[in-house]
Amino acid sequence: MMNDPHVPPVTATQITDEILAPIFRPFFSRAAIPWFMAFLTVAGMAGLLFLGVAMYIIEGYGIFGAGPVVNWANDIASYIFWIGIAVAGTLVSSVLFLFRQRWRTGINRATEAMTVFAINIAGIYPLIHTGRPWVDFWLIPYPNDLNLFPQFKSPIIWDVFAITGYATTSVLFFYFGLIPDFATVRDRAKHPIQKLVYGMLAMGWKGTASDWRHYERAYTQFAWVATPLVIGMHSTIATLLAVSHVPGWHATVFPPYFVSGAIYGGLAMALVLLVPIRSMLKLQRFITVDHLENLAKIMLGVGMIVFYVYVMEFFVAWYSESTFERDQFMYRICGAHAWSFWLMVFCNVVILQLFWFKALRRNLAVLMLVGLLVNVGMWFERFNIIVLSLEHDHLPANWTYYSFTLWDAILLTGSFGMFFTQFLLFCRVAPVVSIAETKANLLRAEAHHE
Amino acid sequence: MTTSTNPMPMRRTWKNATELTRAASAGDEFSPEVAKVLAEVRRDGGVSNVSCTPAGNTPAELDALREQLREAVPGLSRRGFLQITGAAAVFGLAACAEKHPDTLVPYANQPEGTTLGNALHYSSTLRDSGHPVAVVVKTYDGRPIKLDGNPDHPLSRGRADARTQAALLNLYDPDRLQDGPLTKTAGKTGEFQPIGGWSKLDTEVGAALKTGKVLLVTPPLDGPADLALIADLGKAFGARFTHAAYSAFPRTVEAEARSALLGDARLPVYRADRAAVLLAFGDFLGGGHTGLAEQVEFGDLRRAGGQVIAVEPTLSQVGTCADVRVRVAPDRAAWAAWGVAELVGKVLNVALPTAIQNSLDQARGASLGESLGLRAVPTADGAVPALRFIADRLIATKNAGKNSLIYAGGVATSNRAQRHLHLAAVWLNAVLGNEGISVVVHERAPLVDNGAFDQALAAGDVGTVILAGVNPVYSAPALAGALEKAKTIVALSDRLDESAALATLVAPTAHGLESWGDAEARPGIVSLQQPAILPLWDSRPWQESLLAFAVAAGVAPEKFVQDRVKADPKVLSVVGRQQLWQPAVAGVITWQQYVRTTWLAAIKPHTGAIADERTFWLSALSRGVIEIAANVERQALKNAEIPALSPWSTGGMQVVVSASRIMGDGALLNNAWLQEIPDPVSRITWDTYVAVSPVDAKAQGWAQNDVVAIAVGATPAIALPVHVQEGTQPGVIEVFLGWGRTRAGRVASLARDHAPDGSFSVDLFPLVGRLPAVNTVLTATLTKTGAQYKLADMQGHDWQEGREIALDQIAGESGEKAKAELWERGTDGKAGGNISMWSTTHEYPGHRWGMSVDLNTCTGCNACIVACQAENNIPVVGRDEVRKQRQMHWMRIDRYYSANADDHDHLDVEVVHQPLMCQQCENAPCEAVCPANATMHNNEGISIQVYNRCIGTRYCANNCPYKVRRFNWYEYSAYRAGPVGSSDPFLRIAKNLKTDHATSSQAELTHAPLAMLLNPEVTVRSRGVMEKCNFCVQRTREVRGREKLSGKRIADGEITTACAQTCPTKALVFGDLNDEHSEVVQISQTAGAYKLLDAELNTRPTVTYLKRTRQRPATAADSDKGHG
Repeated sequence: MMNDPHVPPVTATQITDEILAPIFRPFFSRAAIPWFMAFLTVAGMAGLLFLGVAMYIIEGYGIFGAGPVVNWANDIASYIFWIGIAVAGTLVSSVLFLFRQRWRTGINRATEAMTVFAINIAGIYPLIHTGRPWVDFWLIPYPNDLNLFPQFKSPIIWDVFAITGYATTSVLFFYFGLIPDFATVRDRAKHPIQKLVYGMLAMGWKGTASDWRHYERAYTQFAWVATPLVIGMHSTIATLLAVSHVPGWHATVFPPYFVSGAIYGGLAMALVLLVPIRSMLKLQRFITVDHLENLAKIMLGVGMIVFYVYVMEFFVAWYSESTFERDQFMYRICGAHAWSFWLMVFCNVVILQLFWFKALRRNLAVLMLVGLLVNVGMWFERFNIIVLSLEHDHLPANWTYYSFTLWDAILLTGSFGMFFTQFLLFCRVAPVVSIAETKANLLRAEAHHE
Repeated sequence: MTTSTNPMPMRRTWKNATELTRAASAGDEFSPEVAKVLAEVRRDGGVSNVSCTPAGNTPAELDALREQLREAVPGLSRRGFLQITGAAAVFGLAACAEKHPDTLVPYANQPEGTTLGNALHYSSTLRDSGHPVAVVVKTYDGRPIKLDGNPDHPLSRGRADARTQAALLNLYDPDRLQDGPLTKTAGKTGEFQPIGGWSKLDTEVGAALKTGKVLLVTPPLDGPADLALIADLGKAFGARFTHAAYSAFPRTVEAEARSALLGDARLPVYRADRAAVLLAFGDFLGGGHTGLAEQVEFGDLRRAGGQVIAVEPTLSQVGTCADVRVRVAPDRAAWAAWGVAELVGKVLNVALPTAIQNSLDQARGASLGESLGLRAVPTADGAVPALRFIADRLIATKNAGKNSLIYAGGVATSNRAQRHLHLAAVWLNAVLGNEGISVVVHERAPLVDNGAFDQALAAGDVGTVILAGVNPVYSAPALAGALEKAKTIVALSDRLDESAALATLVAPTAHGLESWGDAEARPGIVSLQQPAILPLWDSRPWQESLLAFAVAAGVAPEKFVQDRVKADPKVLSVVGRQQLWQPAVAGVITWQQYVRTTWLAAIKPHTGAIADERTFWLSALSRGVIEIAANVERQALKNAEIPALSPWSTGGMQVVVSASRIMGDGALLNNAWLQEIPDPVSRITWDTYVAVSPVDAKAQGWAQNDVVAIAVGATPAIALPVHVQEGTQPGVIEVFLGWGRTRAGRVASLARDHAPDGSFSVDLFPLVGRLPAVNTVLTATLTKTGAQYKLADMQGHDWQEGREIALDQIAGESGEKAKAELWERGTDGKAGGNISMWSTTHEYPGHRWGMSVDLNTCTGCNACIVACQAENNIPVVGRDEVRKQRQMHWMRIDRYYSANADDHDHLDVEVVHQPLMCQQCENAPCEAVCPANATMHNNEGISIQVYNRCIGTRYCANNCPYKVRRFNWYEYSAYRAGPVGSSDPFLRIAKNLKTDHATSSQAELTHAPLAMLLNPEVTVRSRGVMEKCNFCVQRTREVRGREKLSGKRIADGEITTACAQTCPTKALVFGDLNDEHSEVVQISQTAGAYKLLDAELNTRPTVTYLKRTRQRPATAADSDKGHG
């Protein structure tokens, strides 16, 4: 800990000032122009989400490209994509916390926010992918006079529990970590309404030793709950596919495959968020290149696991001697949709190899590029799993070619817009870096120096 | 002649209940007026078994009469359900006649013998498929909702083909004429407008008919009453009357060939059931000249292990069902046929016609087969030259004392270029002794005489042309000019079609389900047609219009009947409960009365003694069919002098012009059900296309969906999308007649005009002109236009890729072994065991429904799909949705090719048609994954779908390995007629607002009649829910109620699904798996039975498939080896 590169070279006051600057800056100001530009762009995209959903409610699911063979496509692929994004946030906040990786402090708030917003977006897809979304509540086991209950044999019900449990925990964890910082904002705030709102959000935090003791204990417990939960949750989503008959879905490797893939994709999304945000909000001293390099290293690790699973899928398909499995994987590499498979391989495997080089790991442009491409690759990974498997199932007479419709594109664009909109709004109302933890690190480092 | 000064009674049409509360009329047979007439009849020596007193009967006497009538009908106590209800319908109406005589009513007032909410069945006959098919019409509250084959009819045997099933939709077609008779505002060029009543129309037509020549054009007729009507009119009008039976697909060349060789031009019917080998040079199944009966008998041939050999240039429907298929170019088909004839003739010591023998001798190189480029047929004895193989099979069959059938019919061979093919077929049938057995001349043969039509028109002095139910201008556009020369054209048509558009006067005709009539489909098999509903709109049967015209022209048609009554007063008793001469138009007897009297008069000479005419009529009517004696003549070769074969060409792209296998001659082009069923061979819907050989496609750079311009001779090029059709002879293209009608209605127009990129429903009649007229094989040049058009293909991939899906075997090769392996795998206690994650198994205490599907007999005809569509209220989704494979059909017929490894171009493909409905798996993958409990297993073995519990996650559909589940992507039920099918949602919203007919008000229903065809037993599904085949659960549930009431277990075969009921070849059999004696269990345990994907996935389906067995016996094992 002697030369902890993750401790910013600042004083405690500077920490508070700099991190809170975006919150106390006047809403319209010269300094906020980049934010505004970004916000208007993504908010416009977010509007498309409303358009897509409204059109779906009016018209029916037929506006999307799915058909009776490829019954799930953009909806479930995007759903798994967004849940995967969420997983990485939990990894940074809980797993790294439990492993005492103090450098996580610079980025954990941002990635937790990413988790919450990604779950938010992910939640939209399963709700609207049903034919009659207005009766989605039948998936919840509630007492009713029809004596009808959800069927617990169905993996969709497992999903309902996994997602709701995970969303609840993530939101609580996120909010819990924010409490000391909300108190700081409350204390700094001058406008009475700001004072009132942040005061309520701070839930009476006084910063006493007793507060801190309870806080630290509870935070640790949250981390202990969230870590297995996130793995279980994403494994459950993997079993949503794995328990089915569909060749290409029916694989025992899916749970670890999905978890590693999720971390991989989520960290890439974290890069995509952090690289521009740190300069937009002038937080370079808190979110350092060291942080980003660490993310890149983890990405390299889990990315290679993902690569290994890609290879193993082919091996298992060959080893199974099942015609259906073998044909499915032959279809992926040389079928009509092979371009999407090879795009995935390029983005997820080939591009990743840049991270073997330290200079490239520390190059912001490279980080951003790889982050974007891995996001593309990870979306196509889900697309390949969902769509290509369904396209090429047991009876050849059913084989088909799925095409995206305009409305699929609108929905997908809208979901990205909505995600970034939420994140940008978050940047202006809450500290993007944990003030309390950064100060603690600083104090801990100073204590060690002395 | 009675004048038409009487106040005109309104023609009755289908009305709502309130209107029926009007006062009863005096038309009751028990009324004093009628009784008086009957008394006069008796006084004049006539006989009536109805004992009315001239003063009218008391209510008690009426009751006694009804009892008397009821007891008089045999069969009421001993025949099955359909007969009972059929009879009940007749008597129900007879018994309630005091109030509403002769009215088919929605049962607001419950007639005797009818229970509200129970279906009522009528037997009838429909001709919508082009051939008469005896049907049983199921009606609910006066609405026909389903057609089934008549089980008592020896030809239909309870089955019906796709077009007959779809005829129901035509009844409710909103594009039919609805406003009564029409006239043109200004001569021949003006707009159509209502003429103002039938009397005005009759007066005008009558005036025109008084002078000048009269040409009556009808479809080919076979019914005794129809033929009598034509004869009567001929008598009445005398020499100035000409009748021509017109068909778009005349069998002229066939008739000429029979005339040349047998000296008898009458056309035969072909009976595959009496043949052990069917040698088809034309499409025996989908060729346009055969109907339901041929399909039914084809099933018999298959079940009996008969062999089917197809020799053809393009893959036809019978080619897909062939055991051996030999490709031959169209101009060499006749050579091949005579090559077979030569080999057969040598063995049987019959000399070929001299000219033919000379031609063959000149053409023969190393061998004729090789010169013609025919492939060798692979057999157990190795490859055998095709001609030798075929001749051996024919000889062997004859030596075994069996018959064969050589068929050269079908539209593709009905041009004069193929006259030698027909000659060879006639020659072979005669020499092999098939005449009179598998080739039977119809004594009262349907007379098709386009020649008479042409001659009459060519003379140019026709005063009045009456087009009765025919549309010659569509199928022979060149006729329009000649037709227009006639002074008056009267069209009797159900819509303003291409021909009616030329007319000056249009009399709307009633649908077959609104009309009386009769038919003699095969010699000696006479069926009756009775209406099941009053006309929905202001229309009348075309025959009735003819009667009215005759009266107006000064010929009194009641004379016709009176003559018959004088000859045999007993025929009067069948005129029935109506006032004898109650006029439809004053002074005109109704067509109904005409049919009743004429039919009996025509039938009586053939039936032997009839004890009681009325009883005879009523039982015939309720049964729908009677069989009478028919002479069978055995034709023999009379004249063997025929011209030499014309040499075959060596270049050019030869054109085969076939009939659309679904649409036939295009009469039903406005039928959305038919538009959306796939072609049995290409699996393409909604459009027509040009089929090209894979070899040509490769050589010329044509790919599937490329649009090419086809130029034949001097005709303007016609653009069509390319379909690369496996099995097509290189150098041959196939196009289809029956498409591209401009005035068929909105659905047909959708097919033509809707798609923004221009869709392809193209009329090819201009290309070929009149069918028999084409003298040489047409050759075409095809040019790529560069455009692309996506054909709506229902099948994703045509090959099984080594998977065990639609299995076939060579007869005798695997048999018993296959049974042991496939039936037992993955079943409880058998090899492989019951590998299941569930600890419990399903129990089926009562029934356990199951089905067997015989791939051996399935011809891919799609009748099952349309039957299912009608039974289960399945919507039509349109071309764009089919392109996304979103068709809603609960079952489909997959068509798989297979080819030898060295056949890289897929020219000699073999085909299996595989009907696929929900397999009702015991370990249903769909059921386990539904989060909402919306799909589950019932204790009769059916995987049921609870629509109102479904939220539409579609996981069930993903997990179904058969992909038989159907999702309502839109509110499909709102546009049943045939939707816009647009992928543009904004357009769709607009369309939905306009066409949402959902209403239960009867007044609304008459305006939006399509809702009337819904089966009230089946829920109409809404958007966002999953649906699927449930083995017609409404039918199986009905069993439970029936068993509860009777206390008796239902017998095997008493209940069946819509698909199995209609299957013409009986490939589908439905029954109770708990009953070990049931047919379905017997079939399921025969050799070659297997369960689809069960071995791989352990789904344990309830549906059992029987392998396709190819009859390819070793060549000469049982025949004379010394010849050839």
